[in-house]
Amino acid sequence: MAAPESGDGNNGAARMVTLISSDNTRFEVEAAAASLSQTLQLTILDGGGGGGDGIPLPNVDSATLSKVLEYCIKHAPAAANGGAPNATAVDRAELERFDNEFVNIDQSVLYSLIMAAHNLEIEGLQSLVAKKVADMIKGKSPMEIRRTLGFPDPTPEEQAEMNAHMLEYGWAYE
Amino acid sequence: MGVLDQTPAQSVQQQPRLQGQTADDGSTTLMPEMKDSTCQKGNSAQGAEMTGFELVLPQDILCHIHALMPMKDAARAAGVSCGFRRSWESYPKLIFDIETLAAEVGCLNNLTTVDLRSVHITGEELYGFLSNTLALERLELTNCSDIVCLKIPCLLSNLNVLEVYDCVMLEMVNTPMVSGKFIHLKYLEIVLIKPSCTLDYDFCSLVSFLDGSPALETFVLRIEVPAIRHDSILECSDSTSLHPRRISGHCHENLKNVMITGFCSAKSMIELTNHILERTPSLNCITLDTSRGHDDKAGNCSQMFEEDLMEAQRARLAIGRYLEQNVPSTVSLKLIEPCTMCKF
Repeated sequence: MAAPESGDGNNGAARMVTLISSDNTRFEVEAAAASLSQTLQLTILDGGGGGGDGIPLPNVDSATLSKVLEYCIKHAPAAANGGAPNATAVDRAELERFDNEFVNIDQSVLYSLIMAAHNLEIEGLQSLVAKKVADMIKGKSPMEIRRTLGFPDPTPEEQAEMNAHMLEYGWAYE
Repeated sequence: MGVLDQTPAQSVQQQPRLQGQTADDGSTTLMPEMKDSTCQKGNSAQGAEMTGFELVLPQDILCHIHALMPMKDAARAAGVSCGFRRSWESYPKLIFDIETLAAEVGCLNNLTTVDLRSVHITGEELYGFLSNTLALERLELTNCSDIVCLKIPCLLSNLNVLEVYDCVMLEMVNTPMVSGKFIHLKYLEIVLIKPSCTLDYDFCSLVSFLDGSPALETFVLRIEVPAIRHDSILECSDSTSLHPRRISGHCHENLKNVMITGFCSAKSMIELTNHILERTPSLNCITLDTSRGHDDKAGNCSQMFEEDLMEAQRARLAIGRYLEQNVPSTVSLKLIEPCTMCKF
């Protein structure tokens, strides 16, 4: 994972907080980045997560948390500018490129990200992963959608329901 | 930042602030949130190792995802997934932005009909949308209760039909006030289904429609559920009723036929009618119907309760007292009243 410029120790003015994944891995990250999570924001504002304490995240494993924090670190500067109204086109394009690559991942990872973004209430990430799933479904036939969503082949009852739906919403299947 | 070390957290006394299910071994499990038995049985029968999104994603996430899909995809997804079907049936927040719509219907420039039903769209948003539909001929709005002020862009020169049903918050309709905007609009029918929700609805606000439609020949106003009016002209003091306010200086040069069904005794209704009588030199016929509309019901009466029949009587009284003497001799006044079949 890309590390920000905090390599030369504790001379950085930025406040750091520690997050602890469900498998007890500790992540140290700038408070500004972690605060992209609405869920964590209050704790961090209250001074939590500093020193040796750390904030436990019992629903997020280390692989997912690492991925989530990659997103937060990348987006924190823009978020700090209030949604970056004065961001340059280059900055925005770079974020967009990052986002596109970021969700170019395995479905199981994507799924974990969806849940983590939801639990941590990271709005931008929630939208990003939801959009990814929506895009995965776009233009697909019912059977392809089922496979994309990881469903088993339909039972006869489900097949009948699907057929009825197809009759009712013919325009969607044209 | 980076991964610091693998040593367990020294103490985890802090209450976890995150929601979710944590199994005894500390690992996170993702429990199916789907509760609907009829929907779920097909999938859950396949066993726990299935990692289909629908099995595990909470409904609000599914709704979020669903809302981001174009209409066709959203409809198809509803066909294969219970979660999406529920989202579809519960009227999700489908995002109708211009881009999505343009992708669905091709170029908005060619769009001739817009029919919005139960859509959360504000007057401002609708105005923005309509500003891109220059070929629009027909606009129907049903149960769009976020619209308070309906503004029609002045560029819609082809708009022939505007139907507004059951938009209960609608208080004001702004058509372009500069003459010559709806230059082709000849027939206008406005249906107010629940004026009881806005008991002080000012019927005179509808005059802006007439002002904005210089070619208008027929104006039909239907108030489908006459309610007890608290602003009946019969209860006004004489001084106010004798000095009606000035509504608009415009004349309606081409208007020949006017019909109002569900005519009530509201002061603003009388004022609207008097305004039309006074400002419409071309008027041939005005029909005032105190029932709920006999003209298009194929002989079937809409049923009226006792209080509706009382209001109809008051409306008839108000017509006699405040309108009849203002009808020019060149205009035919038709009065329609509830028949015996109308009584519930």
